[in-house]
Amino acid sequence: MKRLQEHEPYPTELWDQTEAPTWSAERVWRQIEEQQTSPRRRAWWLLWGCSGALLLGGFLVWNQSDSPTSIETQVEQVFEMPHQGLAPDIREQRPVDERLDVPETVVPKATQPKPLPLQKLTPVPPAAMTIPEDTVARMITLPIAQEQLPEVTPVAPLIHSFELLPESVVALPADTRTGTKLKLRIPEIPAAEARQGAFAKRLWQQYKRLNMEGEIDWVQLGVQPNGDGTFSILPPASKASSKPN
Amino acid sequence: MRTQIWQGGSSDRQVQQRLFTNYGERLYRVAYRYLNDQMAAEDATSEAFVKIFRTVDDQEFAHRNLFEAWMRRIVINQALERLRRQKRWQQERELPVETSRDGEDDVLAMLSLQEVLHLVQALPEGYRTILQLYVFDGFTHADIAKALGISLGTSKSQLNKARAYLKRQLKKANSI
Repeated sequence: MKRLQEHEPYPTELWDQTEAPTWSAERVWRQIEEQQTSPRRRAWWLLWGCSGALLLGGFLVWNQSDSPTSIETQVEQVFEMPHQGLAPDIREQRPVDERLDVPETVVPKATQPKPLPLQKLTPVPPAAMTIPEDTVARMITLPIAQEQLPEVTPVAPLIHSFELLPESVVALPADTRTGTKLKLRIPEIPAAEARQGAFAKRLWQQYKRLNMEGEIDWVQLGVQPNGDGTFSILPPASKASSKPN
Repeated sequence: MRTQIWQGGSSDRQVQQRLFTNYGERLYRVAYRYLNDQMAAEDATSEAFVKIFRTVDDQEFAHRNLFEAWMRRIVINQALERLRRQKRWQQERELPVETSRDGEDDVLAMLSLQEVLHLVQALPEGYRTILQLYVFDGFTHADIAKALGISLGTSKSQLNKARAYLKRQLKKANSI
């Protein structure tokens, strides 16, 4: 019987004597094939990717605007070729006037489209457009001297401070005796606001702006001062009775 | 002189299959000796064959036995790499080397091959690997230390422990 000596390599012809469970040769071969093909496939993909990147990079470099081979440069060159006599100029050479002077195409009447029938619109009567004064605003007449009229002209601040519409300010015909009268149309003021001192203050400012002399006719404004800084809105009867003239 | 088996080229699938048919099971058994696990041994064998197919064109073999030894070495390295991945060797504690074995019977030298094979398979994994590398596959302690990533002293101490273990096992077997 063969005896093993120390450090003598195990004889290769006796490898088969090693006890081992039956192996799956098919599985091992399949693994070998997978391991051999996978890196190749990865390498191919890598190669394709690198090639694509190189081509794209090359194209971008080639297509730079300042490059003589770029598309932009070549297009410019193509358009310049007729001027340089290198190619026939096929562009329109006629002046613009001639090009526009094209005879009008006459269409036979039979083929012309019929005009659409006109629809008559009924105008709205002016009376229907006016808004009754009493339902919308109160009227105030302010006596202003003729020479003071230019100072009244800038009515915009007045309008804005009173939140009036531009058409609310109407200049009446000049009166030789009392001077020009300015008629203001003031909107309905809420009772809560009318009782506040702010309303009187604003009103007073407007009178001053109009450069009007004399006292304020509160009744004319339709407002009755209560003496304690508050104001009451007068009924229409009181207002009417205090109207001048 | 290149062995005749490679005349068709390593990339030739038929040549590869022939080589696998001839040596596959043998190399699997070598891997199994180290790994002691069928699936792990099969995986190591397949990895070894891939490496063999990839590098065999660069090798020159004067004799068929050298070619076989080269393949066996690759399989062993593959198996050791798997063992290293399991980090079993880092857990081994380095022990003082028993340099003197005077008066101690070299039990291993007195064993028959079959007895050795049987007992080796029953060894703990650490002992088994070093014993197989040193005794069966002709590795030196320097080779073992390098292959397993351990120190020279650890390789020697582990081998001595493996011998002592085998001796005890033999005595037990003889007493029975």
